[in-house]
Amino acid sequence: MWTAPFTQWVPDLGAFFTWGPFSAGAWITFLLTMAVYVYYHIWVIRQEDRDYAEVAERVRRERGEVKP
Amino acid sequence: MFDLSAITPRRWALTWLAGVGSFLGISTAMAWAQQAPAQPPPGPEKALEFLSAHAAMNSEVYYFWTIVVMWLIHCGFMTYETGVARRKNMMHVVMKNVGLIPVVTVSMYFPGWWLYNAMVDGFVPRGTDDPLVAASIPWGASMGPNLQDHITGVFWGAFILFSWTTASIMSGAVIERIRQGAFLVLAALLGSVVWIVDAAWGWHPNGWLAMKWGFHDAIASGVVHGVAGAFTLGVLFNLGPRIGKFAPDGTPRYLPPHNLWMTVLGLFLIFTGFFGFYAACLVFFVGPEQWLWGNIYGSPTTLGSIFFNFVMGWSGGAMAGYMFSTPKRDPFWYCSCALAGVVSVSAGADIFYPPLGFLVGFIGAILCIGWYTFGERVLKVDDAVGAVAVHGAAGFWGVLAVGLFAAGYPTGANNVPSTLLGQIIGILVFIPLGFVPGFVVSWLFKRANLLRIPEEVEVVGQDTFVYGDMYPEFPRAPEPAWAPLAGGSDAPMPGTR
Repeated sequence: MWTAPFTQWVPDLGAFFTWGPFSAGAWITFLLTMAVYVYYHIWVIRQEDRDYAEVAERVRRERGEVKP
Repeated sequence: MFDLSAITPRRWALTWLAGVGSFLGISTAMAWAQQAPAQPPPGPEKALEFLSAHAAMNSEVYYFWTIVVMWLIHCGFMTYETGVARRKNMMHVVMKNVGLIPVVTVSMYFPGWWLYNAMVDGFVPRGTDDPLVAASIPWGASMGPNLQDHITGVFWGAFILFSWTTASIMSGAVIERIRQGAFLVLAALLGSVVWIVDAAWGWHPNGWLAMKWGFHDAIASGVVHGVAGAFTLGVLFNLGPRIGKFAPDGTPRYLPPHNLWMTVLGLFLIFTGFFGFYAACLVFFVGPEQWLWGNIYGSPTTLGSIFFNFVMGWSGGAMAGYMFSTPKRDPFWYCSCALAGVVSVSAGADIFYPPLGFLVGFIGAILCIGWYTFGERVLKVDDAVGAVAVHGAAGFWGVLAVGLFAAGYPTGANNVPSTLLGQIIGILVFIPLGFVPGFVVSWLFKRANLLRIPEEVEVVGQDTFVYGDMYPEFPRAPEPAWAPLAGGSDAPMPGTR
């Protein structure tokens, strides 16, 4: 049995989620976690790609390889 | 004569207190013994119930603290890799080690733990009619706070730490030129899919390799280290060497660690954490007939057995590293080969005679150095920390060593004797299982131009534009650096590192 803290502390929300194994609450939070997880990877890749492009261009400009 | 003057008030008081105290204590004990009702002795069922409950609680505590000790492995990997990195890339290396922890943790919650329990028959998962599978799906009753389950959480926790370790093995090899985004995806793939599938096959009491072939890899020489080494090699082929690692004619150059004592300290933290790793690979069983420590397959062993072989393998590896490293008596290889010795002896650490463990570690370290030299000079692979050699070569050697020296020992739920053939089959399965995903996924990142940092950033340093110099209070001596391979001269470029 799960200790189900949600249902003890927030009864209305707990009733909506019916917190426990194979419940809607477990499914919803699991899917949200996966969504955040996948988005995090995409965010890191895009952020890093943009940063490196800026750095590379700055270095090339400092070397005089790119005309301002 | 009795000297009355010797009886001081202080002595008298102490003697009196001792006498009265003894009298009261004895009287109370006698009265209690007379009044206490006679308790019927507990029956064997009650005793077994109590013993099982006690064992469950002890197991929970035991695994919890192995997890804590295993954290040191990751402190060690971070320190070790940062010491190996050049000053211009230090913080980026640290952030890479930190970054793998959250991504591997979440993906080990799902699908990692489910894969471990479901994929035991091969690539087709078992259904939830198997109680272990039912207990491992993330929305199941065992995968959360559960007053009736004292083991799943901490056992999963131990596997989380194994997974971080597996991903960290790749981490060191790719430093100073891989992108964080690509690394995190590769770490999640290795740490929570690739190695966990091979663990389901060869490191699970019901795994098909153990059940059919008696595959024996008690503390994961091949399951963790070997597979991680094969995966890393696949990534390194696509990632390419660091700028300046090879001269235009292909001759490898030595890129010295920026802080070697930090690297050695990191290795010692890894060794400390590995005691937790070793301990977490054992399971305590209590039944009506017997109680025993078992290895991951449930075959009997003891904590003492694995300690014997841990330190003997360590010693053999360290000695070989000191003798055969290039350059001679190199501190980095001295300690790395000690790790190679531990990795080598791990597969049979539960059953080897300790001097045999010493020799297995000694040979494993020689193979480690040999593979590193071959990889660098022939394959032109730039493995910054020798991960493929230390973990891959030594790990698979350890698996083979069980077949050579300990064949016949029963393994798995079927108690199938381990054999040389079974160990070789395990190696032949694990090498492609590790190499192919690493190569394919890193190739896809390479095609998308997302695997490697730009050349301009690599020459200046990954920290320069994000974190800055990590030792601003220390003057920076000119350090030797090398021009880019493509079209660059072979002359050193002082001050650019």
